[in-house]
Amino acid sequence: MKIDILCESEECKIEILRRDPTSREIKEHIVFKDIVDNYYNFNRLEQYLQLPSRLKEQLLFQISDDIFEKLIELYYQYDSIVIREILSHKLSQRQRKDLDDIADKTDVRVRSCRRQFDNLRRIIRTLDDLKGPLFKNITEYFCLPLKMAEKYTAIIFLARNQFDLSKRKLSHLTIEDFIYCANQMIKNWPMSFTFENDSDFSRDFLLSLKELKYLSEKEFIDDHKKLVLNGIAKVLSNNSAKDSRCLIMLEENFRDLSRSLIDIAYSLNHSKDMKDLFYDLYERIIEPCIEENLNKNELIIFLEEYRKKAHGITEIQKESPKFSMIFDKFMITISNCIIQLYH
Amino acid sequence: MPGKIKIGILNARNLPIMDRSSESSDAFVEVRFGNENYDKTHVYKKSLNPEWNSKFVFEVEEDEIQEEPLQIRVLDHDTYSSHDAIGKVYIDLKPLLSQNGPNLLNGFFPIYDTLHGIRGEIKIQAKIEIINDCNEYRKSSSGVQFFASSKVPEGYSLQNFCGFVEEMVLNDDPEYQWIDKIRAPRTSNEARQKLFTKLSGEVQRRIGLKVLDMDANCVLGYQQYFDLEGEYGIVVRGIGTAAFINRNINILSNGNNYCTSPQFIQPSRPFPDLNSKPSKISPNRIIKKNHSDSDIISHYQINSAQFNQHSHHQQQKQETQANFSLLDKMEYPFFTLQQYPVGFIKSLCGIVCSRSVKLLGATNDLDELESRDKWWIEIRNEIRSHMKSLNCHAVLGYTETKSICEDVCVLSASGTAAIVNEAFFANSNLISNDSNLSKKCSICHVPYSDTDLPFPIALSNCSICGQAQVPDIIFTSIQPTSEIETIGKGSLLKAIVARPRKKCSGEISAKMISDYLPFLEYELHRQLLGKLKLKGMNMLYGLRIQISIGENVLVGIAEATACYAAALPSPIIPKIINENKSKRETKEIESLKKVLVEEMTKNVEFFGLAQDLKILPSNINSIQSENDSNDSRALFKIELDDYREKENIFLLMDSVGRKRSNFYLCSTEFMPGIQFDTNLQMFTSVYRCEASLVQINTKKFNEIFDDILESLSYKFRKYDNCVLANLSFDSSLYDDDHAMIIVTGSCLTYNEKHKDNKIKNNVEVTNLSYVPNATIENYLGLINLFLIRESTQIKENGGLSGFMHCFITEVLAMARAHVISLGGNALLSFKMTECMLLDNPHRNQGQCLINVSGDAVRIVKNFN
Repeated sequence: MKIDILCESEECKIEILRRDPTSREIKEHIVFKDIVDNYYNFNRLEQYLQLPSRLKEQLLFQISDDIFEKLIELYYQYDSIVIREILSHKLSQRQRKDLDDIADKTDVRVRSCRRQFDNLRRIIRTLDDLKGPLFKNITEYFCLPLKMAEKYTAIIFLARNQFDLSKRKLSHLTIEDFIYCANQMIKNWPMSFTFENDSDFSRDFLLSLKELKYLSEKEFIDDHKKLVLNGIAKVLSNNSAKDSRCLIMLEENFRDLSRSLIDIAYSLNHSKDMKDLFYDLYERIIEPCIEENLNKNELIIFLEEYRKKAHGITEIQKESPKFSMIFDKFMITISNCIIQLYH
Repeated sequence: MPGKIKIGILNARNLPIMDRSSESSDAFVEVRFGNENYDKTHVYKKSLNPEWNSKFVFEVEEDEIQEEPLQIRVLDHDTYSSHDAIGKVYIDLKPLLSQNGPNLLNGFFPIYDTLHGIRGEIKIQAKIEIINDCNEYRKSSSGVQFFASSKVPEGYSLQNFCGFVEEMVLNDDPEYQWIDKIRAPRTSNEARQKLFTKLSGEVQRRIGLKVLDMDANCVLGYQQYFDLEGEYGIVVRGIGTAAFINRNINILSNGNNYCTSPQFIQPSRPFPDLNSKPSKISPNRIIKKNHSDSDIISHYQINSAQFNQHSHHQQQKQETQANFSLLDKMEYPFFTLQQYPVGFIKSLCGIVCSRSVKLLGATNDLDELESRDKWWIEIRNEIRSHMKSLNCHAVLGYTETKSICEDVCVLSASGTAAIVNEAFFANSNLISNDSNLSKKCSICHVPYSDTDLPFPIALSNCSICGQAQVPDIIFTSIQPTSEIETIGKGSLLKAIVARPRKKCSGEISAKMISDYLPFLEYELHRQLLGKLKLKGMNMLYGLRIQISIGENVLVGIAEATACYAAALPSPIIPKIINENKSKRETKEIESLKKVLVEEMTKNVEFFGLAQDLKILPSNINSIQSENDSNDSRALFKIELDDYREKENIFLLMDSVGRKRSNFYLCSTEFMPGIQFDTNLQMFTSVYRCEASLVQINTKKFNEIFDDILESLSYKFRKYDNCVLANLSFDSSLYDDDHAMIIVTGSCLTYNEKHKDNKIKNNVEVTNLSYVPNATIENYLGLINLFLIRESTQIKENGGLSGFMHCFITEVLAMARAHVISLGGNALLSFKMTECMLLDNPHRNQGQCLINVSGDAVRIVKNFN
């Protein structure tokens, strides 16, 4: 990536003079030259920033630890909207051309978009050759601060599994929402950690989700519904008009919601369907609830009761002893995701 | 004597992609030493981080190790066509020969290519096993340590100074005009790098032999220069001070593998030799050095013998007698050091300087080298006679420089004439009990009586003791010494003179330059003196005058650190004289006077010269008029008869040094009146401009310098209390109408609130000979790198300034790698002795040639 140093410096100079009034006493060309020098330094430094573990080995620049951390942090800093856009488009070499569009849309400089895009692509490519947990590799090879590494882990997880975030209905959701969801899944759901693809869910886990089918069977769904609604009524307790409206709504929609949740769990098994996870969550769970004016708190209570009361159906326990464990694992995470996306 | 080099080529990292299709490289390494030793590793396929783990053993001669660099070449294997070079590494193995240096070289070295710069790193180990050669007729001089630092190295004690050593080698330059030649520049540049490295090794080996002849064991203040004489070839010159030093045993050595101190209780190699066969100080060698007088030889022998037989106490009396003559008869009593042990200097007289203009290639009858040798001998003799006429017997802070333009060159030598303590020429243990030391002024006293002046000079009584006489100002080329009491802080003083000259060549050109030179020097001196007075100061340290010649301009730059020595009389404000006084002019003079007084007052305040300095213009005027007739030289007067002169007055005031409070400049390693806390950073700033700019006038040139200083001040804006120390300005003029100015210096802080005693950088590179608040544990060897960088894509890489920026960073990276491989963590007395930039804008090409040197050391921070 080549920068037109002189042109950039000129812009930078104006910015510095604007921000720092004391520098106005200095002759302009001196400020300008200083900036140019810094650009030269950056030009040399950039190749090392691209692989920070090398930055510590190089001898061109003497960098103290605090500066080192700062440099890395700044270079890997990203704009939420830009990353959101990059993930909505498919991450590929061809996309470099689309960066212009992204820049237009987000009002971020093309160069900055390109850096963010290249950073992401480079991290993915480097990690492709490495075994082990994503997070560990990112901190080791890119020396990112922990918080940032965590976010990158999620972003890469989203990118690798090619979750479709480009649907119009998802467009109001920010990258932070998805990062949160991704991290919930990475933390709570078992990952495969095989050499080929360490961001896949463990095959065993996905297969085990089949056990959840009992809950959508006719004989159990009514029992479950009754238990859940009772539970909700108990929690809400004061019978205001609003609460009763909520109960009525849930009663009407329980069957659809429950089936949708189980379908979503099923779909994780098929990679093609899994890509639509967020879309499905939105379309089949969140949207109906929003339409019925269910507020966030009520949704939380519903999801909580939905999960807890499933344990109460003794017949399922008999049919499948592992059901409770698997159901909890699925529901806790997916509930967190739904709640995060619910706005 | 034969020795063995053991080399390990372990692995490499970050290699460039040489094969586009596989995005990797098939690298292997060629190892070469001298002409006969060659070997290579296997090919490590498809990797950018190959591992070879190959070991090689070469059998070599000792003198070969001194001259030849170890050459490592990394290549990309290609089955069908020729292998592509990735880059090279030259490693100087000399540091491994030194007795208390490291015994193993181990580290990652940047792989360097003249066209592409640094391309990855390679891990190399090297070790030497050698049987020492004690033969009198040996060619090698291993074991002689070279120090770039111009002082007695820390952790060593001086036994005695042995004298001035110099050597010169001449060779054809493989390809000096790269742009127009057919051969690929890359090949010729590689050939040059190799040759220059080898030549510098040869110079050191030869100097080493001379040093051993003098019964010394090291060279202090070693200076090495490359004179690129174009079609006449290349001359590598080295000068230094031979001395015998002992390692202090009680130094806090952490017992690392480098240290071989026990051996040093006994004087090392040269001495055992001497004891057993005293007659072996072969007369012919000394005769070669002293053409004159055979008496010296006997003296010389007696002295050395005494040294070995008697205890120190007995020696003292006998030696002082004998040694006086020794110093006196030393062919050239010149010392390249700039800092001396306490008690060494007895009296400082002033600058002695000699220049000569020579025509290259005009000496067909003589051997080229011999004729150049003669030139320098002439100059040295002149310096010696200057020194004698000042009643002195030594020259301190001695340097020799050369400026070349086509076939004309100007040779210059300068130093500070002084009287020194002869005791240092025999035995150092008697330094401390000198009674004179208590006085802080004796050094300033003139060594002659007022009836026997070498030239008209104003003397007055010493302001401290009032007993002896002192001159009104002293100029020196040495570093500030604690033995002279100063008041207030020091300041950078620079003088610049640019004189246009007619374009001509050959003898006419030489004649013209030599005609101009005295005027140039006079003008420089006038400026220095005027500025010094206006600063309210009276002493100069570290004065360096540099003359550079271009095709149509002649430039002289002088820089020094000015300060106020308590012993010398207070400076008097310059007087403005005007012969034909009209009313308007009188008025003008009055206003000018006012400006001068204001300037001086400001300076006095800023530099804290304070109290006893009175600026009373009216008083001074009256005094001046009295003195005017009889003792005019003591005063500095400005005759105002035309406009130019008026402008000159303003030139004398430089306000740049006062721009920021708590921000000072000086040209020496130490700043009078300031104690440094931390070394922040060394900087090198290269400034290039059209020579026509320089030609216009001195004023314009001055502005460029002020601009550079200002931008440096801007760069260090973050720091409150800082000093830019050891500033030096180098200018070179190119025939294609360009002038280049290189400014180097170190930024240091003082009065820091939070002292940070950690070593921040993995390798501290500084042009100082010390690191503030740190102790040097061990000197690991002299680093001397010669590198050439070329580019055919100047525009794409940010123009010439981008190219230079990048190259200098790379040079530093390589220097650091060498220091690390020797187990060091700092490079002291770093100096860029040569920096030559050529370009061809039409072809988008550029080439730069850099030589750097310095002392690799291991330092530890002080914790109190």
